[in-house]
Formats: sequence, C-alpha cells, structure tokens
Amino acid sequence: MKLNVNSPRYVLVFAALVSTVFTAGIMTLHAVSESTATASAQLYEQKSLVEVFKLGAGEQLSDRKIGDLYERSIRQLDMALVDSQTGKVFNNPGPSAGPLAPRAFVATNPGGTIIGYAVPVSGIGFWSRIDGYLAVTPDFSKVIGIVFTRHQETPGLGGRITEPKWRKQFAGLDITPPGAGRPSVYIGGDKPASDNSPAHGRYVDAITGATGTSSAVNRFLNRDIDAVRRAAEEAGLIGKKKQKQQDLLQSSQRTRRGERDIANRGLPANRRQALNLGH
Amino acid sequence: MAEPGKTLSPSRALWTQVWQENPIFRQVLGICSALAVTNLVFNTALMCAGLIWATTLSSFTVSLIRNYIPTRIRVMVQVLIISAYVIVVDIVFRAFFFETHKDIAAYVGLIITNCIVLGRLEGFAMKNRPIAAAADGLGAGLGYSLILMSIAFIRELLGFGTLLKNTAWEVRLLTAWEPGVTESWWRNWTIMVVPPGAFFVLAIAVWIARSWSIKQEARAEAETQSAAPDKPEEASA
Repeated sequence: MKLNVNSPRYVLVFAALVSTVFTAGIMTLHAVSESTATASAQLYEQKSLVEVFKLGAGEQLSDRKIGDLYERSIRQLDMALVDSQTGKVFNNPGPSAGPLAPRAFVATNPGGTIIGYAVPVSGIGFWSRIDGYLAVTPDFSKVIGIVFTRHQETPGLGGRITEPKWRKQFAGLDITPPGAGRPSVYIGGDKPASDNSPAHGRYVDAITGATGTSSAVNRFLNRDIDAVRRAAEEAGLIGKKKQKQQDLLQSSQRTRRGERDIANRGLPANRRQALNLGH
Repeated sequence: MAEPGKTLSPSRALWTQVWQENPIFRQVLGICSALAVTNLVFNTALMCAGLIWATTLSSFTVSLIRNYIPTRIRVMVQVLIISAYVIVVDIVFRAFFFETHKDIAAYVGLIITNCIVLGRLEGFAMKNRPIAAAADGLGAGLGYSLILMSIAFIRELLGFGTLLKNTAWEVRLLTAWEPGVTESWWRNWTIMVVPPGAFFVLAIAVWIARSWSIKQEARAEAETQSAAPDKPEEASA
C-alpha cells in the first residue's frame, strides 16, 4: 500500500504521533532526572551558605563535607523576617512558602550559640538581577561574608563579584546604623582618609573596569542592609525585643534535633504561634 | 554543500563537514553561539558536546523517518526533533553541571535555532540514509567544535590567563598584574572576555583556516589537472 504522505489526514496523524512520542520521551527523562537536578541545586545553595558563614574555611571541601557542615550548623530561620517599611521579605518560613520564597538562615556552632545570620540580598546589577546572601554577626553589627549565587554580569569584569579575592573585603565590615542620611557600606569612591571618616571600617574597593556593577551592588546592598536591620528589630533578633525572642529561640533549638526535617521547612504551626506572641 | 541526489559515504560525509564544508569558516553558520560562549574552555566544551549530540541524533532521526515526513510540515517536524534532543541536553546539564548550566543555559536552548542543525537536516538528512546522515551531523558538530575550541583556548588564555577555569583541572598559565596584589608583566585582556573579543579571534581563525584550505584546494586541483590534462576545468567549491 502506498501512503499518501501529503493527505491532510496523514499530516494530522503524523504530527500528533511525532509530538506524542518525543514529548513522552522528554517527560520520562525529566521525571527520572528531577531528583538529581534538585540535589544539584540544593548542593549549590548549601555550598554558598557554608562559604558565606566561613564554615570549614581554608579546607578543600568535598560535596559530602559541604552537606555535613550544612546539616550540622545551618538551618532556615524559623521566624518571618519582613521589613514593614518597604515590604521586603527576607524570610518566609511558612509551610505554604514555595521553593522560590525568600529564605534566611542561621548558623550555630556545636554548642548551640549563634554564629550569625545569612539573609538574601538582591537587586538589579549592570545587566540583570543579582542574587546573593549576606552573612552578619548575631547582633547585625558586622558582616561575616557575602556570596553571589546568581548574576549575569560580564565575566572578568562585573562577574568578578563572585571571586573570593573581591568578596573577602566584606569580612568584618561595620554595618551598625550609620546615622541619618549616610550609607551603611561604601563600595568604591575615595578610600577613608582618617579614622574619623564616616566610611571608616565600611569601605570596600570597587572592581576596576566594572564601576556599573560595583555601584549597583553598593545601591542594593545598602538598601537591603537598612531593610534587614529594621526587619530584625521587628522580629526581635536585635534591639528591645531581643531578649524575649532569644529565650524562645534557644528553647526551640533544644527541641530541634528530633525534628530536623520539620525544622528545615520551618517550625510546626503551634511553635510558630508561640513565637508570634513575642511581637 | 552536498548536491541533491548525490550520495556520500558516511566517512566522506563526516570529513566534508569537518573541513571542506566546515560550518563556521566555510558556511559561516552558528556564529551567534561562537561569539557568546567561547570565553571559557569548559563552557565551550559543554556547548560543543551539546551541539554534536543534537546535530548527530537529529540528523539520524530525521533521516530514519524522512520518507514518512509530510513535505508541508517537514520543517516543523525537524524543529520538534531538534528541540527534543536539545531539551535532553538541557536536562542533563542542569542535573550534572549545575554551575556551568547557569552560565550557558540560554545558549543551550538556542541550539534549537542554531542554523547548523536545521541546515544539515534540510540539506542532507532529508535526502540520505540514516548512517550517512548521522556521520554528516557528527562532522558538522565536530567542525563547529574544532573552531570554537580554538577560539575558546585563545580567549580564555588571554582574557583570564587560565585554562579550564572554574573546574577541578584549572591551570593558571599567566598571572596578571594587579595593583598592590601581584607584580607581573602580564595584563589580562578584557576585550577577550567580552563578546566583541570573539569577533577578532573568530575573524583571524576564519582567515587562517580559509587561506590554508584555499592553498590545499589549489594544490589538489593542480594535481588533478596534471593527471588528466584533457579534462575541462572543474569549478572549485
């Protein structure tokens, strides 16, 4: 039998058949690879967080070691972190929060004392959106480190924001409230001339040849530092409400071991309510 | 270009694509990705692997069903087949090379519209047997990779002073001078890192490859003429 490959009926059947076969193939592969892809994405985030908290610093970290360090020391902050002035959400621990919900993290050492917090920072860079984490000391007075997880800046120029050589300047940076009208950090511009200069202890060299990226980072980092400071005050991590929250946090940590999987997604509803009472 | 109706043996089809009809320097196809992804050797290698996979397998598949593809919707079917293989590449890269995938994801998707792939399907796979078509696709992919890898080698070396940067096999060949950090005679060439740098390197690569192959052809022609002096002169490709 000779097929008329150009008859309308044949064309329709053929198109449907070819589409079905290839779509089914791709869907199967997608389903099979989904867990590996998620694991890769997760490992990348864990690696960034381990790095930003300077855990295992100086060691060559294997994937397994990164996973271990993360499991042992880092978990998502279990209270909402929202700046009501700008509406910026830094942490959304709710059970309904999707995988794209902003997440802030807390790192503790084996004794249970808090090393610091990592909050998401983001803004428009020179070309496109930049995402990263800023790790700060428990009192939000100093930077521990910064890491950029996503950007589209020019490789070799603005792209150098990911290089440890540039990022290490942030360690120990003073981010206490700078006084009205002043920025918290200074990226680029004149080096502080004296200890009395407002930029003293807050200055970071810009990247040569990437002024656009440097000032973009300067802009959104200052905005986010101010916002997260307010959010932390509202949440009671620092300032007046601090002590009350600290007690609750400590008690939630003690019970944490037995409910690690729950802790990863935030606390169960009853405890979250207990925390909210502190507001 | 292979003329319609003319059949080539698989090995002949492969070598024609790698050199004589090289997609980059003879057909000047697929230039956009040649400019965009060639500043790091590792990213380029992944991109090339993706293209070789897509062009080989889509050529094979299209050739396999070429007699059943309705003429009127043939380009749609070809693009469907190409996209299926490219999505496979994308899924695999995302799962196993997450960090590189972030950099090249946009270009991997663009393999679908890469003129080399569609060009080989229309120009060869629709008229030839599956094995020859796969060889032709493989050749086009290798020819593309040959040029891209050379460009990437030069761009990464001059732009960053390294080879295979951001991988476990990173080699630093040139340490750049940095104010107050390192003393060195070497300065990284920023132009090599940004896409315009590829214009220069690509142009020079095409120039070298073309003048070389023109000489080769002239020599081959002279030989055939001296062997058969009565034959009328053949037009070279």
